[in-house]
Amino acid sequence: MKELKILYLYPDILELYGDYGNIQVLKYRLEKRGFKAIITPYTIGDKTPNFKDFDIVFAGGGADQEQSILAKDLIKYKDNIKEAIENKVFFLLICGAYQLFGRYYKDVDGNIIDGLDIFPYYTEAINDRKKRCIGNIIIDVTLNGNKTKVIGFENHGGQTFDIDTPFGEVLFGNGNKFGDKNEGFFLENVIATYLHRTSSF
Amino acid sequence: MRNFFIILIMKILHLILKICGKNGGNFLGKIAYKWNPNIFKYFKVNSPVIAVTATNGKTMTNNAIGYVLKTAGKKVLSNQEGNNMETGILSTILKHCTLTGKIKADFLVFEVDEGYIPVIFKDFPLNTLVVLDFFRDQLDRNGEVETLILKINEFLKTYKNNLILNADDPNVARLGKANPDNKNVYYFSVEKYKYASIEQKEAGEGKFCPFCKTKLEYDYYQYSHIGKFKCPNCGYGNNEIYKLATDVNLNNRTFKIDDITYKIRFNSIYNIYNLTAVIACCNLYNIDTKIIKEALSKFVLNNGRLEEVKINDVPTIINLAKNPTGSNVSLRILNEDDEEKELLFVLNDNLADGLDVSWIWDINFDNLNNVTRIITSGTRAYDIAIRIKTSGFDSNKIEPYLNLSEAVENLYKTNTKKYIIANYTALQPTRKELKL
Repeated sequence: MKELKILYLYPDILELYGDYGNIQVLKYRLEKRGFKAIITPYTIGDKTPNFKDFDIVFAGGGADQEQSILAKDLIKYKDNIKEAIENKVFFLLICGAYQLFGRYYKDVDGNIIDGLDIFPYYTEAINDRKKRCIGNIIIDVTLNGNKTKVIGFENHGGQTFDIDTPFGEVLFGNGNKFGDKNEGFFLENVIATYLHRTSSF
Repeated sequence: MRNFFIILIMKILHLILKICGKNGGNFLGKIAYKWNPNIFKYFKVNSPVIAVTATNGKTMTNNAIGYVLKTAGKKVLSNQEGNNMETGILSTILKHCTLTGKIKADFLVFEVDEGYIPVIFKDFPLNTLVVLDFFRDQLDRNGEVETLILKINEFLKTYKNNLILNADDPNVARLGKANPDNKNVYYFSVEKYKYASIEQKEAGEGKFCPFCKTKLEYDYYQYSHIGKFKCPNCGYGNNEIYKLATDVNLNNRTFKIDDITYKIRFNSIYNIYNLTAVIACCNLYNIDTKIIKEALSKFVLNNGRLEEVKINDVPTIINLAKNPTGSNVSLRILNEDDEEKELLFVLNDNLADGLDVSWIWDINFDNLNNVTRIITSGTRAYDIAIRIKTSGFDSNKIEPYLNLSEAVENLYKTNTKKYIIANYTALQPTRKELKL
């Protein structure tokens, strides 16, 4: 049976929004298609993973405090990750992970958390804990030449700027910023999005 | 003078509602609070005020404390039905106070929504605060758990009265350090129980030390992130325990505190924690242990908190679960039961439930023990059905019905034991369908 190796980053930290569900669905659907999913978790303190060895790298979202702690850990692997992306390893990044792969994240108190700086976008939280993009969201996405609608739920205070290649066009909801036309980031083998609990239809 | 008239009008409204056979929920409180948001300052309280807050367990613990006190012959004013925001508590008070705002009771016992502790008790007296746990819940309403904890921590910085905290929840125990001058901090804990594990089995919070940010180490997890933890760096977690529950036996439904065995009506580890908190609280008010023991042997809630009934002679256990931990604890009980069973899961996404149902992916449906069929219902019947299917449960044995009547009808086509899990707005409609 063909195997697909999935690297699951910080499963114990980046799992605030049921994002572990993505791994569960991946595994389930791969198995239905005759693939064996081998999921390798990595968290702070584990042996350095070789990102190039994997087919898919997945990371979800977490609470602000936890994210700032792991950002310092993930930055150590920046070159390893860049190389993996160049080698066409597929990256699926949700919410917090999406933000971390950019230049920086400025939290609600104004503190700057350095990102991995792999992509040029950056995220800034609005200076008001109560102002967040929260709600169901529907976007139009083109995958493998086919246009499809993707539905999910967004909950983020961070507003992401400087996206040249968005994941989808917002039909209902906010997207990268309040009232944005665009959602997420999509460049060849990297999908980064604020959508939790996505389904396509 | 203004407050006098507000209360007068509320009393009249209350009477009208009563005549119409309506309860009113937090209706009275809503109006009164709108007219005067400072109205809490007006009331004259001459008895201890006890408040219970948590993500899970508020209603049960609030009702249990009230029940014990009533068994001890005390007059108790409480928001038993669970309206726990400022308007709900205000409604409860308005229904029972005099026109001059005097409240006549031996004890006031309230369950309070986590976000409203600072709101209510900045103007209203508080003598004992019981904090049970903090889990992720309704992230779209509450933001993060950390935000809630910080709000309560801020309030506690100047609080000097009784504070009863769960020593086994790192999110709760930290509140003991909010005011170093408070000498009235009491911790409760439960000894390792039969199904405790070395690894965390369910999603949880509190992974990092709130003081020095080092990853916390656990000797064991009782459930979710509740367990024996310690910070290997600064030593956080080492607290003197006021009440420790030992010899937990969920088959016999017994546990021990201070050499006294309590027999209770529940068989879940998370209830052991709740009732230990109840005992800690009642001890502080010198309630006779014999009375506590007697009351707890009888205490049961008939509103979907581990409710055990017979429908058409079929044993049915109903539990409310509003978030992953509540659901996981319900499934724990289901899995600790070896008998053949069927499960009904009713999931709504109304405003009060939280519009987002991502949290169902944090429920652990793996390896269900002897479950032969699963029925799903509620507005998001299909979401929960897919989630369960993804865990590997045979999809031929999953039946989704958007219509709750149909779901219940189909559920009782067999005589197999039933477990029913419903979330907040799904619970009462489900109980109604069951004719409870």
